[in-house]
Order: sequence, then structure tokens, then C-alpha cells
Amino acid sequence: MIQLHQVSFSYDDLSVLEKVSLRVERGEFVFLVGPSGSGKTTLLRLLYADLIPVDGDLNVAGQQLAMLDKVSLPYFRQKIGLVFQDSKLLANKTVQENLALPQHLVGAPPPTIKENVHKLLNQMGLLHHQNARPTEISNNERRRLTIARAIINNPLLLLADAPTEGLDLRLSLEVMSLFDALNFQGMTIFVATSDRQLAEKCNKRIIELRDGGIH
Amino acid sequence: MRYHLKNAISHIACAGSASMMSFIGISFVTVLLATILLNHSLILQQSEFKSHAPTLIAFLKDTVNESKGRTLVSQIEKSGHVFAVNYDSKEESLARGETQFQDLGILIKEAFADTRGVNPFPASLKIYVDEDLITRKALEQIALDIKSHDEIEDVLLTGQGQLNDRLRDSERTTLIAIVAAVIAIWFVIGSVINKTAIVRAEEIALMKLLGMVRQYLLFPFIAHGLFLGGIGALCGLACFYGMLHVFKSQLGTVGFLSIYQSILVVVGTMVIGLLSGFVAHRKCV
Repeated sequence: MIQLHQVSFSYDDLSVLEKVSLRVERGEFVFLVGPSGSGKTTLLRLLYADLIPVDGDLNVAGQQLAMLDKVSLPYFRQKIGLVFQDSKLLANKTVQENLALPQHLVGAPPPTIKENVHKLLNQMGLLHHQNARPTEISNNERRRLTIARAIINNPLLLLADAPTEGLDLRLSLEVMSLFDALNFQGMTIFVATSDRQLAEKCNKRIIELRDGGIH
Repeated sequence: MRYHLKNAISHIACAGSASMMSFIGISFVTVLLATILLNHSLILQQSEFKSHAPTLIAFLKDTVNESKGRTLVSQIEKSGHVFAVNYDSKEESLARGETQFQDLGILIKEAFADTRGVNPFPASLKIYVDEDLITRKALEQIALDIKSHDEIEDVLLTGQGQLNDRLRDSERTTLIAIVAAVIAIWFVIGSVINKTAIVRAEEIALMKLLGMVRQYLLFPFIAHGLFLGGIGALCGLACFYGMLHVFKSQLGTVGFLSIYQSILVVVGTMVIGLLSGFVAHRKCV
């Protein structure tokens, strides 16, 4: 599902990743752990083609990223679910509108959108907040909404950047059990976190990113 | 479709007060353009109304008889630019005077018969000149040349040449006004759509990350351009109509633009909006 071969990336003169190689198989659940500023977010942004590597090859969800052009890039991203560190929820839209956005972007028919949104809101315990704005719900609820938005299109791969940041251990484990359930259904999960303890508790494969390389 | 409409309305709402400002700007440009178009239409109307009238009327001296008058006709016809000369005899003029001025005409005719004094309806030559090819100055020169004949008492320029000069000036002004209006409207609509794209930049960036294809936002951008252009032009025409109504006593019986012109102004502005939205979409998304 994910293949990196000798991938390097730098912001101007600051080298962030140096000759990183890794492989994640379809259906795997992998944690990418490392301290703050180790390049986890950069690595994820490379995986969803938001950044272009300085060197090396990337293959994600069967797509050679170097071959992506402006036309094929959106279709590639539609195959991936993204959980952003800063949530990136639209403040001017309601909870259900935020959740429906990825469905609209792929051109799903309105009855399907309505059904999927209702189902996920119910599953995530957000149904009573469906008409609220993201600023009107708690941090934990915003996290759940971000995850719901990432999985609503049934992606092949879920990339989550610090999905439990700001949550206590109980809520963090709740989120992880949700990921586990999605993984059980066949979704490949790739979680970047600085919380090594949480990753160890989940008993999944852990990849450590430190000093610009995989350890 | 309902979602796309809702999306377009929400996109337009993002422009906020900038949309209002653009309506004022487009309305102002539309009022100016409508004024120039109406002025041009009126000149064109007058020109068409007078198109069958002779360019020059040369009045013959009372001593000139019909055969001399007809010889003069063939002489004038030979000069350049003159393509027709009609001889109007004293009798014909008198008869026309009678019809035209009724009782007064009869009175003048009888007085002339009694006194044989100065003829108020002299014989005349109606001279038709190809005005499209000559200027007013050249027309005046032709009039002077005709007046230099001994048989001619006076030459009258009917104003047709002057009207054609005004028509040509008006055509130039209207063309420049249309080009300036297109540039101004393009600039106003383009600025508002670009501002909206800046307001929505974060949202657009997120949608791109979530897999938005470029066409997804094409409809809101184009709808925004159409909306600004259409409403702006309609407001402008309404203001223009209101102004004509308010200044009715000063302007007299000046009509409004024709339906065809009004539709052209609105559709033209909407087309500029559509193109402006399309270009802004290509630039911003």
C-alpha cells in the first residue's frame, strides 16, 4: 500500500528526511512515532502528494506519485482518508455539512450522502450536534468529526496525523479502537503520533522516525 | 443541482459587501453606457428621418425662367458628389405652400398674385449629395460653388451634413464607451471574484486535499460572475430609467433604450461576468 524508496526531503536548506525507505502492506495498521519536529507530518504530506520529495520514489495506493499530474491528483486523493493534526474543519459549515463535503467532492448522489452522513454521525455519537458549528462542539467531538470525514468515502488508506492530540488516555484509546475496527474491515491505517506509550498499548507495528531517518 | 445552487449562493455570500460595491460600480458604468447609447440612437433616428430630405436647397432668383432653371440643373448635376438635382418650379412651390400652410398659404398666394412683389415661394433646386463620402466642410464648399451661379439667390444647407458628422462622432464615442465599459466591468467583477477566492482560500485548499476536481468550483465562480453582471446591469438600467423619469420635464419626450439594446446591455454584462468568473477560476483553483 505504501512504498518509500530512498526518499529525501528538505525545506530550503533544512533537511527533514534523508533517504527514508519503508513499506506498509495492504490491511496493515502502522504507527509512525517520533518526537515533535522529527518529520512525521512532512512524511504524511509526502504520502498524500502535498509535498514533492527532493529525491527518491514514492508509491501510495498503487500510484507512483512522481507520475501524478493536475488531472489525476484529485482522483488519487479521493482514495485516501486524511485526519489532520489541526482538524481543518470548516467553521462556517455545520457538523453534517463538514462531514458531507468529501461525498459531494466525489459526486455521490444526495440520498446516498444523506444516508452515509446520518449513519456516521450516529456511529460517532455526533447526531445530536448535526446542526452545530465545529466551534460549538468539544475538542473530542471535533476529533471524531475529523475521523468521520476521513472515512466517509471508504478510503483504501487512512493517514492520521496526531489524531489523539489533546485527548486524554481514555478518549485516545476510544479513537484507537475505532481505527482498529476500520482496520478489521480491511482499511490500511497509518498513524503518526508522538505518543509512543499509546502506540505500544495498541500492540501494532511501530516505525520510529528520528533524525531524518527510520529506526 | 440543488447542492450546486446552494454552494454557488454560499460562494456569492462570501464576497459580502464587495458584491454591493461592485453593483454600484457596474450600475454607474451601465448608466454612462446607456446614456451614450441613447444619445447615439436619437442621432441615428434623426439621421434616418432626414435621410430622404435633400442635402442642399438652392433658391433661384425670381427672374430666372424654367428653361434657364433646367439648364442650371444639368450644369450642377455634372459637378462631383452631386448625384441628383430636382427642379421645383414657382407654381409647384406655391401649390405646396397652399397645402402646407392652408389659409395662410392661400392668403400669401393671393397677395403675390395681386402685387407681383417678392415671391415667398420661389423656384428651387433640391440637390442630393452623397454625404457619406464628404465632410461638412466639403459640403459648405459645394454650397458656395452653387451660390456663385448668377441664377441662384441663396443656398440652404438643410443640416443633414451636420447630422451625419454628429452621427460619425457619436459612433466613435459609443465604440470607445463600449470598450471602456467592458474593461471597467471586467475589472470590477474580476476583483470581486478574486477577493471571494481569497476569502475562501483556506476552504479551497482543504477541498483540494480532500480530492476536489477543478470543475467542482467552476459553477460557483461562473454563477458569481453572471450574478454580479446581471444584477449590476439591471440596477444600472433601473437607475437610468429613474433618472429619465425624474428629469422628464427638462429632457422632454426622450424615450428609453429599445428592448433590444436593454437586453444587449444585460446579456453583454453577464457574458463579461461569465468570462471573468471562468478566468478567475483558472487562476485561483
